[in-house]
Amino acid sequence: MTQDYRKFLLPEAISRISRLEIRARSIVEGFLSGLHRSPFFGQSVEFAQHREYAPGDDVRNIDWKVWSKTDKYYIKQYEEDTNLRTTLLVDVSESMQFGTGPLNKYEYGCTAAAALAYLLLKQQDAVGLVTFDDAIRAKVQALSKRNHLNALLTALAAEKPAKKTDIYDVLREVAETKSQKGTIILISDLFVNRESLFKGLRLLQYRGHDIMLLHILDDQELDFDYAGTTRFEGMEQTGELVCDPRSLREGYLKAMHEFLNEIRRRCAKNKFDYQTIRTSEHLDAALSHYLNHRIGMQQSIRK
Amino acid sequence: METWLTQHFVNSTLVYTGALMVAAPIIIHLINRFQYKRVHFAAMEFLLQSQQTNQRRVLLEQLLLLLLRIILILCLLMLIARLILDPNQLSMFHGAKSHHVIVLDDSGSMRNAWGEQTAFNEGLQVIRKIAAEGANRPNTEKMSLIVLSRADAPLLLQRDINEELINELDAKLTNLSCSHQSLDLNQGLEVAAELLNEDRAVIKTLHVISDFRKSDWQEKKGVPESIKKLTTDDVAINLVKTVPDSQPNLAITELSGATEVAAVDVPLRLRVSIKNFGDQVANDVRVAAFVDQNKLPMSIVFDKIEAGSEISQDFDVVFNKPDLHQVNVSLNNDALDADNQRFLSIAVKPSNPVLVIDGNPSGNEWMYIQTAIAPDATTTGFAPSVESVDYLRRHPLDQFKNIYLLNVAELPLDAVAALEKFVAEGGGLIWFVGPSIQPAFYNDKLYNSGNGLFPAPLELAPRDLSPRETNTMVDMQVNDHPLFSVFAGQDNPLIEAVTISRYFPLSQKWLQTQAQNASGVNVIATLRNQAPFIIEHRFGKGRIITCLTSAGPLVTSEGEPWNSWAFNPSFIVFQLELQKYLVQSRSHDQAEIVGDPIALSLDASVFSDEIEIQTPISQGERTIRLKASPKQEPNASGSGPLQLVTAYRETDQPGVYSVQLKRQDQTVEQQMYAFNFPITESNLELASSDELIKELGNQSQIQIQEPGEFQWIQGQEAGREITNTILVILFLVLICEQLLAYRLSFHPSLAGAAA
Repeated sequence: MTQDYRKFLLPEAISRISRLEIRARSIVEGFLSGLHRSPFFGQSVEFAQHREYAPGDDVRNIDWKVWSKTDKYYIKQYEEDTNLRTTLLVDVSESMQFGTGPLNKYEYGCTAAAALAYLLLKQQDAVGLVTFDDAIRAKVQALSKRNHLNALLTALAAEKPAKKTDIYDVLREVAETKSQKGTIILISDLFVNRESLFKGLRLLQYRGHDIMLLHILDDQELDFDYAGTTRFEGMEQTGELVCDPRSLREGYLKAMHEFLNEIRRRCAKNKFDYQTIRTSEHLDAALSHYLNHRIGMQQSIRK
Repeated sequence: METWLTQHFVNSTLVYTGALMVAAPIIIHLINRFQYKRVHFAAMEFLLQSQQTNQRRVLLEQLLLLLLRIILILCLLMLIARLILDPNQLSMFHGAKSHHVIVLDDSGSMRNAWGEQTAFNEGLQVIRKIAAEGANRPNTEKMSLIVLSRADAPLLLQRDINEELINELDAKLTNLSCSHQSLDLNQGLEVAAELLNEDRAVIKTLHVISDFRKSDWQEKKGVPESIKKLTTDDVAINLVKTVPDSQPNLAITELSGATEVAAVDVPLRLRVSIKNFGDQVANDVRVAAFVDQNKLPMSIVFDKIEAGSEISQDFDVVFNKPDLHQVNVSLNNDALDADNQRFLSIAVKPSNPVLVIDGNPSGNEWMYIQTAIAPDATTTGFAPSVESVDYLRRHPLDQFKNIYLLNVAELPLDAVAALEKFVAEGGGLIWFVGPSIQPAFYNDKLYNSGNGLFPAPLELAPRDLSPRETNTMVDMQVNDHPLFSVFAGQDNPLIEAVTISRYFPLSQKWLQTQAQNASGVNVIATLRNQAPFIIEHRFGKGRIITCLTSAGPLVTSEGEPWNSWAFNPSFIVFQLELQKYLVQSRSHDQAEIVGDPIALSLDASVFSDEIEIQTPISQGERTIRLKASPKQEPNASGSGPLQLVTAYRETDQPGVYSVQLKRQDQTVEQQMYAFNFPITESNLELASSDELIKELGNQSQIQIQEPGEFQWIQGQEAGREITNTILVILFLVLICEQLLAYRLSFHPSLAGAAA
């Protein structure tokens, strides 16, 4: 079993990420654990601002000194120094089993998830994991302990995906259980109902989560360079088709681009972080792209 | 179906295989449909979407591609099996049942030689090739071969072409030689048309193998007409040319002379004419002359003969012995050898007897005639004998060449009959009038309403011609006539000096009413007052010359001479010319044309029926014995004298044929016949293909094959045009197929760009 999940930690990829982390540390403030500025106000030593008291505010936070001077109730607000709470949502449905390269989408997704978990754990951020297909298959609580990685990898590796993705229920369940705000990284091929996907994601966003989509797609799915008569068998009871793929390639690519464009457009609209990743791409390239993308996220969220 | 295939494809057997090949793209397509890879695919949504939108287009494109590939195979099939669109003109040997009628022109001009080849041999080669090609398709081809010189007896008649026939044909063709004759292509075409009409073959092809000379083609209008007619009867016509280029040719077109008057030791003037049929000037042409195969120690030189012109030269030959002699002249060899020789047979006699009848025995007119034509027996070769009118009744006249009748008052009727017979058989008769003649007798018995020996009725009395007032007037005005050719030209002093004082005028009434209608009566000289003076007319085979004045200077009662002609040198010239002129009508043609038969009709009472004919030296001097068959000559009384009739037809070889006739008394009479190459064959100018097309109209059924090309025999000539078309189509289809296939297929470089 150890061998099995170890395969997600491709040493080369991880080491490259490490170098990237060093670079990130010097540039990005709050990139590592303890230095993250939470986008939320909370318990901290660092004063942020005063605010007029409103009923319901914690009386403990009232700044009496200000009251003594002004006879008005102001409360002190502090920067919240929190661990980055990241939940990895990994799609393990049957469609993720497709792959023509060395790694199929599932493997690639798991590897990416593992790498991210490793990175985050190394930063002492809390990492949780949810795997799902038509329903949630496994759930691992977010912890920032270094040895938490084992639990995460075990949950990833244990899955034998088989079922059809039905994403809204899953996302709603996640939204219900994850009360603490954090980052949710969805690793999936997104071959799901788009409406329910975005409905679910908006729900999560509404709950205060920071959403990131890593859209894993195989080269063949993007390029469709099959040749010769081929019988295509849908992976999730989506039917089958015998055809000359070359003749359908154009239409397929068009449909695929429309799909990607739609996803991209709706992500941009909803301020979801979105990235398409080919399974042939290096993991580190995908992750570095992710990390670069994270810069300045707080500003966009803090109201 | 089989028939159709064989008609439309050169390699019809390949068609079936080819048809199976057409199925190949379909089968490959189907195999591709059923042999597929299985792929578990996630993004089926988009694939199905694409399939839904592209279904019709993909189907159409695939069908189109399939169609193009089938067309490709079809094109290849047509190329390999060699499609022929129009079986009539295109397939030479691929019809179900086809009949090839070959007309081989073997006229003299086909002897045209260049290098080692002759037009005739070229033609034979074509026939062999046609037969060989036909033998490749047993039981479908029939062949008839018509050789033009024997058009009535085709060499082969509707024979199936097979190995046996080829052997037979080979033997026949080896023995076949080109004739020397001038032949009419029409005869061959007529026979061919009959053969083709009888035949019910599917495809009828007429091959005309000839040199297609301009003269044959354009001057004889019948040939294009016959060919056009054949095309309307659905006959494919193949004109096979055998001569690549027109070649210059010199030909001896004439060798002639007054051979009838040839006499021992008298120089005989012969004329040789050469025509240059080429388009370039011929310089220094030498003609050698031979008498009885011995070359004369001289050659006749023509310095320059312009292109297209004919030049004549005269030369004299003297014969030492009275016998049959043959003279021939020859030129150096050129493209056509046969016309470089010309032959003449001459019967040389010790002398030529001429009968002079003087109506006035006491007169001396006969003397003038005798002196004119035979001052000495050895110088002119004429032997005049002067007799009285009575002689005509008592002696046979056929020994004489010509007969003079001078101032004859009247003739006994049996003498008239004898004379009429003499002239009708070709003898020459010369009338001179005089004071003694009885115009009434002449008008009644001799003129005989235009059916007699005298050309026209006379006035009853002679008339005086008024004396000349100026010297510019000439008493005797000669017309353009061979007799006066020596006097030709203006201001001839000899003629000018002749004075005519008295003459017998023709009946005024006749001149006014009937002169125009009198056919054959020809005034060849007139007097100063335009009255007819010398008249020529024909009687039977012979000619009669009538001079309306006296032969000698007869003195009238007034003491004036009738004329002074006899004192003038022109009288002698005229008399000698007259002799030659009159005898020519009697001579059998000096130049017989090869191919004409030697027809003999002999008096059975004189000759036996055994005849020997010796062919010319060039033909090996063979001796042929003929047996003449008796034939009753019908005449007015119902049974005439028994004639022995025969004809010798193998006179194709130019040269002198000698005929020996055996008399009943076992003596032998020899005759010689010279046969010459027909002049019409000497002009070797060819009609070009364009000219042929112009004559025939541009009909698809008529094909003209250029010399030296034989591809058409295998049908390649015809197939080439289509081959090109198919090649173009194939090329276009290939390009389309490639473009479409490229369009329908996936290309990584593009894929990268698209992604």
